[in-house]
Amino acid sequence: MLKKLAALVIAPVAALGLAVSLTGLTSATALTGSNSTGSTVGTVPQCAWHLDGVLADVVLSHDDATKYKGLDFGISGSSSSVDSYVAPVASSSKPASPGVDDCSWYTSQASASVTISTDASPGFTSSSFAGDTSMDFSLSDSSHKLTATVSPSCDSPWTAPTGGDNDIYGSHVSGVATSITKLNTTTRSACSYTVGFAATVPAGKSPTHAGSNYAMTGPTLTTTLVTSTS
Amino acid sequence: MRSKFLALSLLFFSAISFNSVFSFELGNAATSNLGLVLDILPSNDPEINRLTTGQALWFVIPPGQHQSRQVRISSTSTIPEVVTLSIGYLNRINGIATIDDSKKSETSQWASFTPEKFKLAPRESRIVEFKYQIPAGTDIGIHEAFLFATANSTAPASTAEYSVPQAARIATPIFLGVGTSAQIDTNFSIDNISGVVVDGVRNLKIDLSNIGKTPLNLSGNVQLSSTEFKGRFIGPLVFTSVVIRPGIDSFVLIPAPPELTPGEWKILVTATQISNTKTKEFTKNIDFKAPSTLISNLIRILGVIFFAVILYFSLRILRAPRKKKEPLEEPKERVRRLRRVRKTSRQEFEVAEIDKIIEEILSRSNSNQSTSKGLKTSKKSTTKSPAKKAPAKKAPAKKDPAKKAPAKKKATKKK
Repeated sequence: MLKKLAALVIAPVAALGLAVSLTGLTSATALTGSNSTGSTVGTVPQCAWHLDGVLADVVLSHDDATKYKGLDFGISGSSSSVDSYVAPVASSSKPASPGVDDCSWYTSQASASVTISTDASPGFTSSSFAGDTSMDFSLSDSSHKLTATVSPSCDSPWTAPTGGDNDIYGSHVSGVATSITKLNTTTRSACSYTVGFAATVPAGKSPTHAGSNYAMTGPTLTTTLVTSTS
Repeated sequence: MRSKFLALSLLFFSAISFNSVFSFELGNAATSNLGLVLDILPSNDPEINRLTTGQALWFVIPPGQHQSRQVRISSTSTIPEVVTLSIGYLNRINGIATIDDSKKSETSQWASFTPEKFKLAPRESRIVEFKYQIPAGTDIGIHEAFLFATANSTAPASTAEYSVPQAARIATPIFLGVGTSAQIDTNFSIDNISGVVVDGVRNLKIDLSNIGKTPLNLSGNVQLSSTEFKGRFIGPLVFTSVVIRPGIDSFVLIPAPPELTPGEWKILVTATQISNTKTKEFTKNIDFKAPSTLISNLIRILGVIFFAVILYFSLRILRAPRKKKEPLEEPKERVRRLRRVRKTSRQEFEVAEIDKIIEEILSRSNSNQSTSKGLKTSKKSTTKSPAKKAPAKKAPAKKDPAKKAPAKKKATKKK
């Protein structure tokens, strides 16, 4: 029994010793002169910035599920977690535990910044009833806007968003939700954030089809990941 | 019995499979997220690779010619996406490329994509040919723009009461030089190095100028050796500049290490833009004194004095009493006044004539009849009354001082 135990301990040690000896032997052979000049160089994949998790449609609803009665009617909703991350070019999803050497930037290290924008004259429109625009309303100024509150969960060196900068209304250019410089970008840089949206259906609307449900569609919000190698 | 058991089993399994399919679809709907990756494939053009790193989206095209690059769009989404490629306006603010969707890039008319719009299945990739065709006769120059890859959902619009559709977009800057690589070349100069204190931190400031035709993103290092103490070396201290546009002077700040003491140093600055490396050696007295405020304060004081003097004289001029200028009379007013004067002089003339006639009548009557006191008083009253009524009264009044004048003369003589 004792012998068996000793063998169990010694066997791996011997195997290790053999491996080390062999390696040393190869090195020694190389040092003593080999005519071989061929070699292979393994490379890791190219890194790239990925944008993921932009919800195709954000649904907004009234807090207590009541219906519009001609008074100001607040609606709100939230996006899912939007991810901006560095991963190998071929990666099709955010790595659960990214490694430092999963990919390399080589000579193409790039900065990243995320913005949320819309077209020049945003508003909510309905196509429920042909030609019925009675419930349409525009997001024309800072009093009639789609409030976009960006809540990132990214530590420095990612920048934090400025409150109100990403609100959506006519002639308001979107601010930067978050960004990271080229120098601070690593092979594992990542930032996730959610966006809370809120708007108010203005008072004084008189629906042509009162008692019916109007499906109101807001402006198309474009989440842009700007990457730059310069 | 056996057939009943089989039927029940089939029903049970079909129910399970239906449930699993249904729940899978629900799950998909709940996670209908858009996502994509934009990968610029390296350029094979040695001219481009000489100017920039292979993956930067640079084009140098002479007028009348074209050039293509390949980009790979990959979906990271769980749902099918419609991807559209387009060119956007690039606005560079403090060296940082920013999007301006309200403007159109001047290069968009020269760009084409094959394919421009396509559908990507979940996790699918596609290579797109991006081509710039520069018309003959286009001016030699440089342009910047954005390449946009925008992903939208293929699903029908939401039927929710209130919804906001979203799109995912990746943008990357494009540099387009219209001309030959000789016309669109990289060139820069290292102008100076000095010690500065910024926000209380000691820095080495390297002045750089972009004298070429392409934007620069220089990287390099600084090595210092003391001319006062042999064998005292510092560095290399590495640096990277922001994007410096053609014709623009810029600078880089490098935090100075504590061992970099004020004194004379021999400094070697090396800066590189891809394959274009330049070095410059300086022998300079480096100190980190905050810039003297004496000159600026002196200028400020001189300015204060100068403006105070101007203000003093201005106020003096403003306070000086004005020469009374009679306001220019309106022509209409003047005519009216002249008419009034004529009218009064005519009245005066008439009154004087009446007086004469009365005097004549009185003198005749005096000569014919004996004079009476009552008549004399009536004469006085008649002569005075018209004088009181008419402004012509002034005329006889003028005579009074003339009458008094001899009296005055007499008085002086008495003395």
